[in-house]
Amino acid sequence: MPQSPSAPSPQRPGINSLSVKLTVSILLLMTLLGLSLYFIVLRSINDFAAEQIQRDLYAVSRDVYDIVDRNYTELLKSGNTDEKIERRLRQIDTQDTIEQFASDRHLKIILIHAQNKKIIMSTHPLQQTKKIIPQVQRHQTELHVDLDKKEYYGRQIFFSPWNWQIIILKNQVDYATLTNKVNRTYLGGFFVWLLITTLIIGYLHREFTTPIASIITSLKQQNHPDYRGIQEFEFLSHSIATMMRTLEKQVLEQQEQEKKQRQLEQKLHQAQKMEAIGLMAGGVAHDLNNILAGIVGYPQILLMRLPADNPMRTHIKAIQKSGHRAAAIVADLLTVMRGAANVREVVTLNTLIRDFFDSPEWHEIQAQYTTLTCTFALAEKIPNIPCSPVHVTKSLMNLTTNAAEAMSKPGTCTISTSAKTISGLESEKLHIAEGDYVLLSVQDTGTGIAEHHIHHIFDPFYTRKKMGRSGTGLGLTIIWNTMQDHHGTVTVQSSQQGTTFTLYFPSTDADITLSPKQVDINSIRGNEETILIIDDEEHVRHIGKEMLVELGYQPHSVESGEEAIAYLQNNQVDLLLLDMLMEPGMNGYQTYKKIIKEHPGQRAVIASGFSESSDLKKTQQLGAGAFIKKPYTIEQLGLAIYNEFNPK
Amino acid sequence: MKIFTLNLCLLFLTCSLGYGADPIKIGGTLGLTGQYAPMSEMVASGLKLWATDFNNSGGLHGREIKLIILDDHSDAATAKVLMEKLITEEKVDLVFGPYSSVITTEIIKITEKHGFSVLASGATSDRLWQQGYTHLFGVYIPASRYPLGFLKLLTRYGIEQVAIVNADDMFSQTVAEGAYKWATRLGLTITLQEQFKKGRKDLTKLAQRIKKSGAEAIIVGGHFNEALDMRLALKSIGWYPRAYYATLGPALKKYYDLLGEDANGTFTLSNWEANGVRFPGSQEFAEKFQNTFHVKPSYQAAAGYASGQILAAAIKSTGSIDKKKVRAALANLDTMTILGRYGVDSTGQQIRHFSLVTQWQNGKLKVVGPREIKAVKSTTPIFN
Repeated sequence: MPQSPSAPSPQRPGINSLSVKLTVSILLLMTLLGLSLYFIVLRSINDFAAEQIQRDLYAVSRDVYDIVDRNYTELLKSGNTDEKIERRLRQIDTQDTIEQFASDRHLKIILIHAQNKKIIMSTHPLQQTKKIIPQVQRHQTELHVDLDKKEYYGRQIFFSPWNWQIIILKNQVDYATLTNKVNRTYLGGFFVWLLITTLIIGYLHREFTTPIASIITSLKQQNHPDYRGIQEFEFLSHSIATMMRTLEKQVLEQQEQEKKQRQLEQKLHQAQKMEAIGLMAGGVAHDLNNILAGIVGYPQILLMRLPADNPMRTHIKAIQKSGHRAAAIVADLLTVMRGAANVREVVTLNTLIRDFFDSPEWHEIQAQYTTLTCTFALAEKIPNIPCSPVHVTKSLMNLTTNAAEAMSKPGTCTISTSAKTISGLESEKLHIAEGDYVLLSVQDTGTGIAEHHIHHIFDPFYTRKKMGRSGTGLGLTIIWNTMQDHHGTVTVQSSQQGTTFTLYFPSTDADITLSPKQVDINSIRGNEETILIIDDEEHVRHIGKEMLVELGYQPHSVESGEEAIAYLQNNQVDLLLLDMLMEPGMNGYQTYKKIIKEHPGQRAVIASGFSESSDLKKTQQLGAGAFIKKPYTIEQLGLAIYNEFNPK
Repeated sequence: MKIFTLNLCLLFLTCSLGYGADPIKIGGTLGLTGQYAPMSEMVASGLKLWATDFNNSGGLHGREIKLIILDDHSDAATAKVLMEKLITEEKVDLVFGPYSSVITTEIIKITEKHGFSVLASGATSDRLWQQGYTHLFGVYIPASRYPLGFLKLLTRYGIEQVAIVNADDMFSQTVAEGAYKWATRLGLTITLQEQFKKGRKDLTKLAQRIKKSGAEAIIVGGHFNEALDMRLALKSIGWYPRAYYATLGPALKKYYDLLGEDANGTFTLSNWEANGVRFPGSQEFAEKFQNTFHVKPSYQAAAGYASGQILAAAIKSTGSIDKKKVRAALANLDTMTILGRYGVDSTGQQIRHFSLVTQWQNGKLKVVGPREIKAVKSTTPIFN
């Protein structure tokens, strides 16, 4: 999945995380609630407990007072109030009773003489008892004192008749039940608080943090969030996912657009490059072709006229062969220019392949590269293709040569053909029209082409071979141009296990066209028809006239368009053999355009050193016939004129 | 080990009453030999007589009492072992306490562990109820209050110079502490307070120091021997205070038997006297005891009998011998025995019972206090 653009998301887990903020907020809130509960409710409970303790101590102090009072009353009743001994004994009995009472109730009871502060009796060791006295003020009723490192609740009463200050203390532990209840209430309250807080935090975590974390986790992993659960978060998750998909789609489209743009730019750049090279090559080729017309044409005429046993024929053939080779090189240069391979013949690709592998050119290659073994996987019954056989053969030769050179050790080159219908995305990807294609694949087991080379292999003069060793740097450029001219394409797949070039040719239902080489001149001979040769090159005019005479026509020649127009004002011809590029003055197109105004339907065959030009197309659109490329053979010229006079 | 097993179940009586259920086994240890033998024998006889009476009256819901009393030789460690044996091997249902506070202190650890309630018919030291035990119940008033009646008597006589001596056992110490506390509160002067080792026979030098302190009265915290030895020491130095008081020993007839006329005048305390307060059944008990054992019962014998009465009352009130129920009943019981009223405070310490002040007069142990129930007037000075 492509990485979606995302907003800057600082990864700062901690105090800024939602979970922490939520938890802190809840804790603060619950703490406030807890404090409120403590001060409003729990403190009241505590006060209530303290009140209960004091109430209990009050009852106890009443009991103690009653004990003292009862003994004092009995003393009064005995009538011995004034007897010191009797009073003392009564007080002893009273203390005895108080002591038992204290023991039974787990009390500490201290009797102090109210006036002299002398301790009369204590149920606690005397030394510790003395420490209590300073803690107790006379006016105090309720006491809370420390005794022997223990806390005591207490109460103070006075028995005036005997001047007794009575301090009753009860250990706080003895109120453990009550205080425990209070403590349990506190503890219970705390646990309830803790439980509620935990539940709230847990609930919020589950209902808020978890869904958000789930969504964020998906986003961090660059996945589409797919949360299911709470409606709002589900909506949020769905919306984010939708937005992401839209963004991704836009990004993909943008990338695709950019890719297409780049490809277009590359193609334009390539086209411009090719155009420039083509123009240069075309210019050179035109002149060379005009020159070569003589080198190729005259030997042919000479050979036709010389006796078969003439010893000069060998030399003339050598000249002719050299001419043809030179013409082939020029043809390569012309192929770089778009339209060079426009000459169409309907052929079977398998036939072209077989012809090539039977040709001297292949045998020459095979002799040079002895480690190469070729295998074939040619599909039967593949459709015919309209093509320029010369260029297709040339492409095949270039590919096999490349394959041979790519293998540093013995290897195999597999040539295969197949039929395939290209449509849809494949069509878009290959940049070719939808339809039926015949595929030619050349697969080698070489070392492959490096990634950084593969984008440049179709560039003119781009070669990985040592300069001067082989090739011109135009081999693959010719293939690329050829395929462009054939409205097909070429693809390359390469790895360390080898490279495969695949050529896509649009197929046709048409029958196979006869090749000029297969034509018997006698079968296409003319019938004294008049033909006007319009060409600015004298030797071309001369060779043309010689060939046309041989072919049974009545030729006449002029050296410019203007001269041709003038000639036709007074004469009629059956066909024009029209050169396209003439200097100075009118070119072929302009000439033909003017001629047909005066002579509508005037037949014409175009002969040019250029492969293709806009003028050529326009001329043909005006009604001109076939195009033959200079230097042409007598067969090519004869067949083109014959077809013009005898359309199918 | 000499084991006295007092099985008081009379087979013919059992059969005639249709007893068929297992007997209720009540165990205990007593110092039937050793230093506490005189008092322990009295307790054992009292228990025996109670068990007989109880079974004769039909037992508890048809179940007789089987009393198992083992001799602990007046030794705390032995008593502890025997109590463990009674509970774990003899599988007794209930237990009685041993004689003396020291031994009770040891066996209470066992009984507490097994959840058995103990009626302390031979232990009165206050400290026993200050340890937080939950199954110990007093039969007498605590030892610290023993001398109170005598001290009040001294106050009436205007005797204010008192010497307090005691043996170094727990009971004796408690008595001395109580004596000091009450004497101080009464405003008396303590001329000497001294402790001597238990078992020391010659107390002559101590008697001389008492004399030298200017004491008018002597309080001796101890058992039988201490009371006897101090009296002999006084005789040996030829000096007699205006009042001589000793705990426990003088309550026994044996004291007089050994001292003869020298016993006269000695003050002691008694937790029960046949000629003292007429509590329900006390006269009948005294007669029956005399007839059965041919000896006059001491208060220890009455305490043994009363312990049985208390336990029976507790069982009857709950209708069960379940230990927890019996413990709850003893904690809340308010009942009359031949010894007096039974009732304990929240620590288990006896608070309903009261003791008597007695004095040997002319070969007879007479009740001279408290004033409200005294039989005769005390005589002082006792030696002319």
